[in-house]
Amino acid sequence: MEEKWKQHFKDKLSGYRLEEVPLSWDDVGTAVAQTSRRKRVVAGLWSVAGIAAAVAAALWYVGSLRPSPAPAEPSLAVREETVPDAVPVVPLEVCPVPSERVPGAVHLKADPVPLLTDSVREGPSLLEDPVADADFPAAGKPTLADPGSAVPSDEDGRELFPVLQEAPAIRKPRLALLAYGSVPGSASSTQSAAGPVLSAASIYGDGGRMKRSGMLRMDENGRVETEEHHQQPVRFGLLFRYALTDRIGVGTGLTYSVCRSTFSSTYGTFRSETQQTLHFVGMPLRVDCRLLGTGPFRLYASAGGLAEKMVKGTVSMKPLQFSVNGAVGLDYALSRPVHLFFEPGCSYYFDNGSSVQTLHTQRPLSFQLDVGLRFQL
Amino acid sequence: MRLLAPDVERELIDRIRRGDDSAMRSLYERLSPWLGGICARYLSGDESVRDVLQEVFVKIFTRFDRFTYRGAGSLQAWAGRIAVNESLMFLKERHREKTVSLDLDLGGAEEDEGPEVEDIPEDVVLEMVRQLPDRYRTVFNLYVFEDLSHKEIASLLHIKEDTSASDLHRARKLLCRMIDRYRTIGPM
Repeated sequence: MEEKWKQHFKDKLSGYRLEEVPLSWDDVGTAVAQTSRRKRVVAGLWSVAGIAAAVAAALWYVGSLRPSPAPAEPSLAVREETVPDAVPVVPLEVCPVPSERVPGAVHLKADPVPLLTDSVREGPSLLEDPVADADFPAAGKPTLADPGSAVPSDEDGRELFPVLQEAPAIRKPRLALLAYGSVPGSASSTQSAAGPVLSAASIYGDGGRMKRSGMLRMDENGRVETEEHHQQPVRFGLLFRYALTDRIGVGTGLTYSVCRSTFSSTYGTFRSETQQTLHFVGMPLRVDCRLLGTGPFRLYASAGGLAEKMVKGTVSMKPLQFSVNGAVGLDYALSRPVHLFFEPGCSYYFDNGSSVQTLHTQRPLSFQLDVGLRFQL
Repeated sequence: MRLLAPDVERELIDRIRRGDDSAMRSLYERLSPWLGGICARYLSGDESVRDVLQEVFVKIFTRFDRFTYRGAGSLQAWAGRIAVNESLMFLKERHREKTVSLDLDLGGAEEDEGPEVEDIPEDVVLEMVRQLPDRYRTVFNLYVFEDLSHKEIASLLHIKEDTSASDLHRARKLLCRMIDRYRTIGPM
């Protein structure tokens, strides 16, 4: 008995054919060509992204291999002071710094000056003030010379202490790691629409796409009201930045974002509400340029692109999601290696052909505020 | 219902594989009304039917290399399977209902009864099916036209087996109510 009604329905509708197909052959041909072209573009964009990521990784690797110049060994003055023969040569044992401890050291001929021998024998750092003022004779109190300035000498013009010939080269860090998150604003998009359940009311065919020989409605109205509410996506990211110059840097990394939406529809006595949550993983590429800098503050501008792939969600979105963005940021140095930055900016999301509705399909141009920390590596 | 004679089917397959545009057009003209009917059974909106039907033909022609001839009627069956899958994917992408139905008073027909549609035009029957809520309609189509069990439907739609059975029951009740109104009031 139960199967009888099923068979009747099958007999009625399994071979049903539309009288008027809502699609022309030209539409199909165009769609097939577009699909093939889109696949080629996506493949090309992935190739570019892969090449850019490989270049950034190679630059980072090369940068990490470059040996940081070791602090210059304090090279002692290698010149022999010409002193009058009457001045005795200081024997080695009273030389303040043993020669074998300091490469390239040359014994400076000087008058024997009593020094703090204990600290001397331990090998004082030449960057430190080697002796206290009180240990010097009143005359000819030496000072440690700044590199490039005159060599300290006693009243007779003879060098007393070795000086640094070169300041140790300070290696500017070229690589930085940025960790940031987007501040979720209260901005969201809500859209309402109302429409008939069936699009025409003619009994004997409406001249539209489908022939109808009768219509029934579930209630008096027969209208469907829909509402969409999209929340601002929440995004986190890690970015490796390589400084090409003092002002300009390039970066790439990974982002993770979550898009939440609510869809409500009411038709007759039925109401349905759907929660949609989509998780994306993305790869950004960006260039930034320092505009101004004063004290611990830096003002900069950045621009770039982002390719995202949905990895988990309540619905399926197969195509990649591409966007471009621009921002102006403020960087504050909390300490030497750690900076705090605020980066307000805007993004434009391109239509990827998916039928899934998100905030980006409602509003392709959106604004966001990224806040994060930059770690100099 | 076979829409392609065996010899015509083999010829079209060979020509499409060689990239013959006229063969593709011929296949489109022969199958599009029937594939459109399948999409119309699953989807309630005309725009949705058009979008999905377009996607069906894009899939057919861009993935034709994946089709394997298995005898007379296999091309039509393969195309019909694509139409069903695309319709299901479209419904899945659009939404997954969390709460449904404020009106639960569907009393009337007994469990074993109808809906009986022998005396009702097929256009009207199709419209009745299209007026069902999406999930009821999907379960109804998969049970009646694809001959899937509730276990298979539950696995496909990621719902419980009991939910599938309950949705089919409600769909049948609603169709019975529509058929009663049609027989009483007639077409509006």
